[in-house]
Amino acid sequence: MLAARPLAPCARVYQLPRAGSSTAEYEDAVATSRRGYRYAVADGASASAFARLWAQLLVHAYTGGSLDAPTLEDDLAPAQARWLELVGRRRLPWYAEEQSRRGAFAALVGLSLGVDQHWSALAVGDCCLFQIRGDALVTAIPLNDPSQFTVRPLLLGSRPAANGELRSAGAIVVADGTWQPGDTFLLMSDALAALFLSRVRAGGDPPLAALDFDGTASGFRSWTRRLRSAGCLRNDDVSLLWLGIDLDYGAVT
Amino acid sequence: MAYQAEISRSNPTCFLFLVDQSGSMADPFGSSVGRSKADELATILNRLLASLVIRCSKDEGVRDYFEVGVLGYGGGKVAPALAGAVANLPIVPIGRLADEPLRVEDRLQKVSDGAGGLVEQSVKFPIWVDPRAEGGTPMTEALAQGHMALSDWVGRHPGAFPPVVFNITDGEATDGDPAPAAERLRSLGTDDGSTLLFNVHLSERRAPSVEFPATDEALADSFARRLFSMSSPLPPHLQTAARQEGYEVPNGSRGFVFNADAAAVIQFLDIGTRPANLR
Repeated sequence: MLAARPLAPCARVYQLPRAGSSTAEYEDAVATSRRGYRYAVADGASASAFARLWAQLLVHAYTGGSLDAPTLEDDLAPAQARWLELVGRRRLPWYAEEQSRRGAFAALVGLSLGVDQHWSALAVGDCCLFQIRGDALVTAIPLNDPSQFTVRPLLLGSRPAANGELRSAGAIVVADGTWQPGDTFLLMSDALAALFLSRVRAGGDPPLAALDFDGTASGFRSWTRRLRSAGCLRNDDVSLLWLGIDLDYGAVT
Repeated sequence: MAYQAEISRSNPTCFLFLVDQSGSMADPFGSSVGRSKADELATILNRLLASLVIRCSKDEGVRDYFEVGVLGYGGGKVAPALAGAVANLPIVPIGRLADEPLRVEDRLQKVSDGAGGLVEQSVKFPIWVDPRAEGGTPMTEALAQGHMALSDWVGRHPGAFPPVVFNITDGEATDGDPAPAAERLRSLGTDDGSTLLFNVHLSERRAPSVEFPATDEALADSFARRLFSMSSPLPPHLQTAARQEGYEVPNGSRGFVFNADAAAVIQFLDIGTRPANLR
């Protein structure tokens, strides 16, 4: 019996903590839901505490299908309640209690692929999504130029009061489009996204040539460390979710 | 380019506070009733120290991005002003300071309710230094002792972001002109630049507060003008950060504030992403 090849994107995840920090101190988070075709990267803000936990809760809320842009502030409530419950279990010294009162903050970018060849995305902060088709960068959200990265982005807070101005400030970014077999989607935390965009905007090579490592996890780590040492890449936690759509998608087999 | 060194646990920077504890600090502060300059100084200093601790506080504890010293001057002498287990230490890692306040008070603070309004919330307010006002004002000697402490520190941290000194005072030095000592202190540096000297001037004058001016034209008296002239110009990198924090900072701004809080300075230093919606 003949059947069309199903959607089975190849998702590869690359991660490295900032130099001088341990894996336990890594505050980015990455999650994928292969069945739901949902993918997310979050970056906990280093100025807040318990941001690693918040970033993890956010990516799982997104890939679990719980976050929709029109109702985002309300949709965050279960993750916020869980964050508060987990943080509140511990007896905290005064400074951690003060950090807890202020809440944790994180950037989030999420991508949903549809089998109808549409995609939709949600982004808050400076984690980025890029769509590449052939030699062209066809989508870059929420930022599309390296000059747009700052150390003061608006981010998702684990305390509801922190998110009151996100929508009016235009910080909740949505996008959609279509994908084709052979497309590549890249989700990145900010340091790598800024480097990627600066290389792409410099022109010359195809976008994927900006990520000139060998595709292995160890190759990514060596490549990242070299870029940091050369001063090309800010010393920050780095996450990359590389999603390739099979060129044979939909072919009858 | 100067003032770009990464601040990290392996490459910390240093904050030194010189605090005026002389008799004139018992005088009233600005237009407030029943509140002295010494009261205001203690509030500013404790808030600055708490801001430093919180800036370094993470899930697992406080990361030693900073080292901190507090020298008090008054009563005819200059001496370390911290108490408890960190007393008499010229400079301590921020993690040790975090665990050694004299006490932690609960204070009410107005915070955003997320819907455009304000609500009162109880916040933790640690106290390391209580108000004190006694005798003369050996500011020149305090700047000289600060120079001594930091000479040693920069020798041990040649690649660090340069030390940041806050001198909190009413400006009435009684041991001569402090300007040459201030200049010597500012001349100390690391490979990343010279020591930054911020002066926080507390006055009984009922004049509007001034933050990071580029000239001394709006300053109320000769004490303010002298402290302004002793203050470091804000490096371009910090000017940019100050503007991102919402301050109007003209080119040529100096690290001087008059009857104002100076805790914002800590946010000018880059030790990672700080959300714009974190107040």
